[in-house]
Amino acid sequence: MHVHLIDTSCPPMSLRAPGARIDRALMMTPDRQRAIVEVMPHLRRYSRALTLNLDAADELVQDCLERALNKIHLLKDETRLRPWLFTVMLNIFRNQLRRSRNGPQLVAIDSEQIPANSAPTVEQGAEVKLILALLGQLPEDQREVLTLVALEEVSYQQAAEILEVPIGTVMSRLARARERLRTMMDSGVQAKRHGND
Amino acid sequence: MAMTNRPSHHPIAPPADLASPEAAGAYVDGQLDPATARAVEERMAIDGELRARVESYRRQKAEIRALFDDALREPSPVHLLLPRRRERQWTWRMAAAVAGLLIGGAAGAGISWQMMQPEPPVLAAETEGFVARAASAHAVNATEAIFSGQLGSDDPQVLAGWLAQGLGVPVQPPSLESAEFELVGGRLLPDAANAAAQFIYQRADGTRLTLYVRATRLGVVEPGFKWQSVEKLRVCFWFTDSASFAMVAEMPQKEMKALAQMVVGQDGG
Repeated sequence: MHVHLIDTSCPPMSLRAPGARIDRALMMTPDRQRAIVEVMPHLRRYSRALTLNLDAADELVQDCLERALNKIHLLKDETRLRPWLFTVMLNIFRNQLRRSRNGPQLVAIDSEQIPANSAPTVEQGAEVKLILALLGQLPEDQREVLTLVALEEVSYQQAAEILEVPIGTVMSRLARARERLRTMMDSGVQAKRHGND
Repeated sequence: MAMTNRPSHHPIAPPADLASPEAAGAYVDGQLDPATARAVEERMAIDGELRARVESYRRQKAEIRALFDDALREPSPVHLLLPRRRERQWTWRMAAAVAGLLIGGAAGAGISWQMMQPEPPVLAAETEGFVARAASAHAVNATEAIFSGQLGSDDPQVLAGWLAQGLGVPVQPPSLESAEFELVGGRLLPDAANAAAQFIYQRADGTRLTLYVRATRLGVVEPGFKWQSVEKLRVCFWFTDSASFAMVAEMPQKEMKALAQMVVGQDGG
């Protein structure tokens, strides 16, 4: 029995269906589709650094992609797709943060949620957990620039464009974040030494 | 990657104080012009405090990377492209479209569903969608191999591991080696409410066969295989108590049936 598959209740796979972002996604060039798929793991990595929570991170990436696919027509320069996606994600993160400021804290910092694996020794694992806890103590505006620069290795100029702040602000926030982390890491290491044995 | 830029093509203006946190950070980040970077290094040779600062910043970066880099090693989070909330209701057209988006390339949009002969559907919509997605996934795969490394893996162990993670149940790609079909890849694809696994096999003559598996039963469990054709593709599908299978290839029915029986034999019922 040979049956040809066709859903006669729907028009052919055209781009007419209103509100279906998937259909809109189809309008993208193959290059753009490929670029989005390539950048997704990077968006996810950065979203984890922003939210410090695996579930919240995936939600954020999902929100980001949803908005990006809806607003893709605003992207004029194809080579800017990657930084543009980062900016879209950052803006959603900042808005969520702003809205949650009045209410209970949006994102709980839970060191169990970001698995500190890939650490060959217990000692290194402990350090990775320490940095996670410390990142949670940084103000978000410092954390977002430090982790962007550390993870994506963008230039300061690119970071300034993604974060939509002046390059001087990028540098001063980086400096404050790093000095703060350094102080906390030093005292953290000492506390750990006292705490153990 | 386009955003990786080290050392920077746009070095920042040389900082006034080479031992400042800004300068040390810019040095660690590769943002200084070569002459300024050398000056920082010369200063480090005589300034223990600057040395400690640079060392600390480097360690911070390394630890941040160690903490989050897993995200790059995990299977691509393709499910995050799936619609949610308002768009919970999936049609097979949307699924096919997403499959195209996920795999990218001209092949994604190249499946001309609209060219199919308009005959009324005889299957339940869900089963129809399942078969259509299996065929769609095959069609984009048969011509597009480039993403097999991106979204999947050709290492059976790695593959089984993350497919199990994505599907929520352990899954082992069936071996078709006795029929000279070698497993060449696999991937996780969106299928209706869940993910589906697709295993890609290839014979020495280049013939490709894909097996599309969803970890939920879709239809009535009946003995025997059901058959459909989608353009040139032949789809053999069947359901067990716990899973739905669709085998897709451009092959004679008799040959495919023998292969499907091999899969059933390994599935253990």
